[in-house]
Amino acid sequence: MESIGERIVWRYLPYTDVAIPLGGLNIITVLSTLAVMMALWGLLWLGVRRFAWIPGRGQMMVELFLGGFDSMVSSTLELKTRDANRHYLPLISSLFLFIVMCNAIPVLPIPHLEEPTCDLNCTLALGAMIVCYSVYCSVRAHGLKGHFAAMCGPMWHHEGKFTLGALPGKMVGLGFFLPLHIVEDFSRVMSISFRLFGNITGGAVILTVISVLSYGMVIPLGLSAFVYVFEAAVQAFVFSMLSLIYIASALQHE
Amino acid sequence: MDISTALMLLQSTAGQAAEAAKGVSGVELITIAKCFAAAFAIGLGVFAPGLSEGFATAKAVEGIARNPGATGLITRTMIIGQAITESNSIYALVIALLILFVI
Repeated sequence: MESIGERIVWRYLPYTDVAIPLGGLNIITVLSTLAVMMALWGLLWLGVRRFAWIPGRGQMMVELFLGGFDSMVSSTLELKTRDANRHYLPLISSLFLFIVMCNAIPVLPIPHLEEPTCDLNCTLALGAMIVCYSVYCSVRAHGLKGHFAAMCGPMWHHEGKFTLGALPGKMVGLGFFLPLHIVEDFSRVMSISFRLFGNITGGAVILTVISVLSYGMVIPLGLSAFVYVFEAAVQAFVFSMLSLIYIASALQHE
Repeated sequence: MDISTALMLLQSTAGQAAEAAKGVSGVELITIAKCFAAAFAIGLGVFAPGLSEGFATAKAVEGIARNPGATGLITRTMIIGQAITESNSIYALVIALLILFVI
């Protein structure tokens, strides 16, 4: 059973002595991600192939999906203009589509194709990207001083001149809320990436164990249908909604 | 995590059963400790999240009963909240898998 935890890593380029920098390359993850992108491009191209003002079936599905996400983004972000809300729609919807296709790619019976999100590197990269983007959004909306003031908590702001009475608020802000905010940022990265990784890897391990126990008969088929359709969509939805909530809380510091 | 892994596992468990008929040495002690540790980790770790998700579903059903027009919003909020609570039990599952398969 030890082969479940193994990953195929290329430390050197094949047939050469050239070392791959940064420790190596998880070649199955990279190729699976390429396959995911090809599948996603293929499906979406099929959807928007014939553009008509009265939409056909493929275009209707794409429009349903985008309309649903547009209303969700608008109701969560609640910015002043509709265009400001639409600014964040491509990130959230492509995050959802990428993660759904990542989790559901084992539906195709290609031999060594496994989910890229079974690799912790993939989910950590996505999580770190989302948290860095929320920090960037906060800095862009409120400036560096505004971001630092938001990090230092609710008692940081003082009216008028800086007198002795404003000092306890600053001390509490710098000593307590600032480390708390930084640790919260790191814990957001860990929680959002481990949630996706654990759900998908746990589903895959349970599928493998039940396939071994039932000698590959009917039960793994129904269970894999559940895992590759329902759990993929739920985890992708939770990831994208959570990243939207992080971006919303970064933009609404006042 | 595909059918080739499952076939490999089917073939390897038959060979391990023959060697287990001898005594317990250092490596087997680690395997026994691994089994106990993983069982306790996952068993105690999913108790509280499972209970709280049941409570959350009960409150969601109450809310739908009081206001059937808000079914979509309540269901969506319940799914998001339960997926976040579920992540605590997923942390326990990750530790159990780590103990069993990586250490």
